[in-house]
Amino acid sequence: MADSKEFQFNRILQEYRRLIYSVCFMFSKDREETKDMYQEVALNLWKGIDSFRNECGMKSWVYRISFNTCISFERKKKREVFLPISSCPDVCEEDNTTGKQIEVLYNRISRLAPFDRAIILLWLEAMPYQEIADIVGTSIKNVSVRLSRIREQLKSMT
Amino acid sequence: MKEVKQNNQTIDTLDELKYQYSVFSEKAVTASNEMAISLGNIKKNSVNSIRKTMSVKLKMLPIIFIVYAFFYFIDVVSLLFLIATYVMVIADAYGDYYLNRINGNIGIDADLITYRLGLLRIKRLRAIKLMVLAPISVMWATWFCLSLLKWIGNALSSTPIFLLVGGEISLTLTVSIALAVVCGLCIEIYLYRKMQQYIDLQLDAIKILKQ
Repeated sequence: MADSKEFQFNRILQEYRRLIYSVCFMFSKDREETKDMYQEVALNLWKGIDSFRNECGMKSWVYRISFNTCISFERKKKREVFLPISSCPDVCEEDNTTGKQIEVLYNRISRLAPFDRAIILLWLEAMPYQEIADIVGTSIKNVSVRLSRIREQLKSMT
Repeated sequence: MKEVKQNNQTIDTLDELKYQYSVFSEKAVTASNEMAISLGNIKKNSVNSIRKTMSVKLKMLPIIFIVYAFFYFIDVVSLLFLIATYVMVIADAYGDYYLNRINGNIGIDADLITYRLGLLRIKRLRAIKLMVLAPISVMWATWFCLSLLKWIGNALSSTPIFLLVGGEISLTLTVSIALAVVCGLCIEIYLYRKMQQYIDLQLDAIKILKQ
């Protein structure tokens, strides 16, 4: 039973590590925080495996845990120290075109509100509106309205 | 014409964003490989977090019981005070246990809004607990201090003048206690209002999101 749990956990981490990393990256302010968030998400995945019932699909489940963990983590950190989100962590440290592109993306997304950040990330991952609505806990219509508002916001940022 | 331009701009921004995200995704694959996760650490942290959810106060209960029973037996406090202390400590520990249980029941795998609402519910309950327990705690502390001073006075067999005047509590002491109570209540009201403000802000944000 324990082996099967470990096997499942490793499989989830293996399969969805990029997804978890993307969420942690967009909610963190530096490399260390990305690592901490990643660990925290992994811990919550481990704790939640037993209660996982394939109702919403594994991907949606991993997304929910990742977002809930990162939003809570960010909220706790904000309460401790008020640090402006200014620099892009980790992968955009490289001084080349790729690094710059990622930095622009990070600066745009990190300026959005946490829920909007989640919605735009899901949209960028090409998730269907229905799944986005299920993860966020709102209606499809709402997601569509929200996305158009986010687009407006992003447009005004550039 | 203006509308067309605006639409084009939107498309441009989104296309750009999609492109940037695809660049990031490629990098994220490599970067996520570096996020080494040790299963041993995860298991250890999991046990620690379960331990953390058990209230520290719950573990302190036997010590508190023994200390105040000792105070009662050496006549520092009355039987009524002892019972009041036990009831208060048990009520506080049960409150913490109840809140931790709700916290565990929210489920981190719930959708984002349900999870946030669950956390806000806990915050509201904590605010109520603070409102109920804080004045009782101030009263309890005052009662304990007075009992202790009375006991010290009796033990020294001569009443310290600066504390008691003819068996009555001195004006200085009364003013100090009154100030402590007023300050305690002010801090409590301030904390409660801050908590409520935060809860209202979050609820407004969720309302906007749901609209």
